[in-house]
Amino acid sequence: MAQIISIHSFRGGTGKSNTTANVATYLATKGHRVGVIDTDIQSPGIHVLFALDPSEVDRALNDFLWGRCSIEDAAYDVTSRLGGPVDGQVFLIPSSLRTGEITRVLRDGYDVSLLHDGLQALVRELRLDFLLVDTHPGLNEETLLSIAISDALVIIMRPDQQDYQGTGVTVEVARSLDVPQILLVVNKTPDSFDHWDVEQRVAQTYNCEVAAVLPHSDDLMTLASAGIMLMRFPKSSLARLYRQLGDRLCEGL
Amino acid sequence: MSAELIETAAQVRAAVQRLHDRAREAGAESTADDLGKMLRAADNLRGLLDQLPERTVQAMALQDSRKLRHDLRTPVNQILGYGELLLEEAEDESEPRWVSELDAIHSDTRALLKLVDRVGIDNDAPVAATIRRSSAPERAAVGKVLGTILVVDDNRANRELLERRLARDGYAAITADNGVEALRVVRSQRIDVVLLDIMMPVMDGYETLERLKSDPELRHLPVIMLTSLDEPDSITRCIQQGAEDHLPKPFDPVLLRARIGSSLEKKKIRDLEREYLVRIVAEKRRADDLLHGVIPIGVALTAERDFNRLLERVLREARRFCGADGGGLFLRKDDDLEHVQLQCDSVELRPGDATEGRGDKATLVLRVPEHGRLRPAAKAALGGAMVNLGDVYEAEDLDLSAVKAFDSWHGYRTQSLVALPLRGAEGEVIGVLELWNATRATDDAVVPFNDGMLEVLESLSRLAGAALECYRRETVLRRRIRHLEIRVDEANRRREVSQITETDYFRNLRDMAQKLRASAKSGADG
Repeated sequence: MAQIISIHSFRGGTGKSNTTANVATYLATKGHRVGVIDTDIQSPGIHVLFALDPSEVDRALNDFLWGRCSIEDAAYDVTSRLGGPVDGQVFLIPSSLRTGEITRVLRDGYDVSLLHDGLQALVRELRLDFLLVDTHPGLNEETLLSIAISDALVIIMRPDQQDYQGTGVTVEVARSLDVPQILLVVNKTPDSFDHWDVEQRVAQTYNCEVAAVLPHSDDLMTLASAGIMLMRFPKSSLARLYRQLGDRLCEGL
Repeated sequence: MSAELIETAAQVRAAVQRLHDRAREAGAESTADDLGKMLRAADNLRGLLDQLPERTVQAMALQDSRKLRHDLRTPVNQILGYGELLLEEAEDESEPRWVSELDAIHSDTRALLKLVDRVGIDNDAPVAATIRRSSAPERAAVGKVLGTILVVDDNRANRELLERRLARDGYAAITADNGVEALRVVRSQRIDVVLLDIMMPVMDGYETLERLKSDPELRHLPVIMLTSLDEPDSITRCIQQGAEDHLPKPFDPVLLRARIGSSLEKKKIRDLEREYLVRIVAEKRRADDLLHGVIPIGVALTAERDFNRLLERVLREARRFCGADGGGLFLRKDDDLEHVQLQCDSVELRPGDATEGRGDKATLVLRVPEHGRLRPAAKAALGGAMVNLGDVYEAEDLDLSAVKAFDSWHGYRTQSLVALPLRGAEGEVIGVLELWNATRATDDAVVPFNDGMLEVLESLSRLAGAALECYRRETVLRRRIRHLEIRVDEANRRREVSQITETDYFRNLRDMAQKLRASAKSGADG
């Protein structure tokens, strides 16, 4: 039975796409077939981490939503672009990078129920073990749908006052939707913080499990944006924490 | 002219001779001695006058003419000078004798001087002396020396005459017979004014003056040139070279006193100026010490990240500025002063060493004990003011038990001691810096903490206080940062959640999700 995992954050810039790409890669290294769908139609970006050039993208999630193709036709096998050999496979369903397509979504919207059908079809057609949904930040109809149909929800937050309130709302909404597994990840945590203390306080505040406290590092962030961190620097503390998060998600299988 | 000169000179000599004989007969030995000197001067003059016709012819050149008048004037001035002295002394006596005779000699000698001043000058009227002889001079207060005057003249009689004149006016006089000797004297002892003759062997007055004025240490010494009335060029030259004033021969007592007094007054002002300058230079040096020494240390202290090293450095730098053999640092904790640093070169203390009384673990309670005596550090902390003791054992109002125990334990002797409060940002006392046994750099002798040391120490203690306070604040801040504070507005959160969950869309979504999960579960179970 495939697991649908939504990676969500209340605010942009929390490191959602990086976390998604690294966890997907880790799951593939464990031999799983993993799908990654970029539902952030308004500001797509995860394709960069998988080294997918926009010129290569002739079909995208947008095309499925407008009825131009089936969803599996918009899936790209990016396994060879992960930066090293893996036993499993990673398929990326990008959102369109064409400005016109993005504008159309913003103007006309789309039938959210189609997204539900698409996700189900994707799991089925690509025989996925995991489908990771990289969502648009905040809470709107499509993110609520992603959360609703997820088996696990990973909420990424930063140790920043601007994130505390929204994260609280997201956790509570996810509980209302009976999402079986809700995990919090604290990202970009300054070194001055005691990470163990952060984990305890966040868990206590939201009454929710904290799967990882990821450190902030300008160097690592610069390197990370150029590829899959986990493959390029497998011995780094950040890679270790991504693996820890992946393992925790596998336990839900 | 020559005949009149010779006749007047003979007349003066005869009058001096007569008075000399009468003084001898009367047993007035002192007066007779002076008249004898006047007689010898008159004889010298006669010898010179015998050569006058030939020398007058030779004295065609200006320089030669001046030399001739200088030679003739010297014995005439001696007669005048001794005559005036005798006259003044006679007038001072209760029963004056020979006043009219001395007056006559004085009058004739003045006339003689006028004639001498015209020798070699055709049709030129001599420059007449315009200053009248004084009445009785003001006597200096007994025992009070008004200043030390150096008389530089190659003529012994002139030197002696001036020496007596100056002594009479209350000055200490020192003599030199040429410029070289004069320079040696002014470099070896304190001189207030120099009376300097121009024409002298070995080194003349011009060169002596030039050397005095080109020496930075001596150029402020007032120099009064001893000149002749007919030498305006010489006077101008000397003034241009830096002479303070000039005094025409023969010396008028009033003029002599006036010019020496004026020069002394100017010298006093110059000495004051120099003294102020020295003080300004010293102040500037102190300011430089602060700027280039203390402030960089303060900056370095603020940047120190290791607290123990910071404490150790505060004490070490403070000791270095005053050569203190030892010292301690206390930090305030509630109502106690904790002893956190101890250093003493003589007993080779190391951090952590157990030391009687001044040990690292010793704590002072900040309240006045029943016996009323506080330890120096406690007094500085409670009073908020520096405690400075020249010899700590003489401070009977302080509790010295710890100092004495330390001294006894180590065979040491604490003498000078200073305790300075260290202040935090709000001016509150956060600790005390205690130093003892300041040493003098030249011989390592133990000395009291002087004003210069205290000034630097006070600046350093302010910076050290700021550095300690800065460290304390940073520590608190770091502790606060390490503990994440998460604030969630529960009422707002509930409102925002309900705005989402109480919509039809959400309710439908939840139903759909429940069905999906139920279906998945049944599929899995089946």
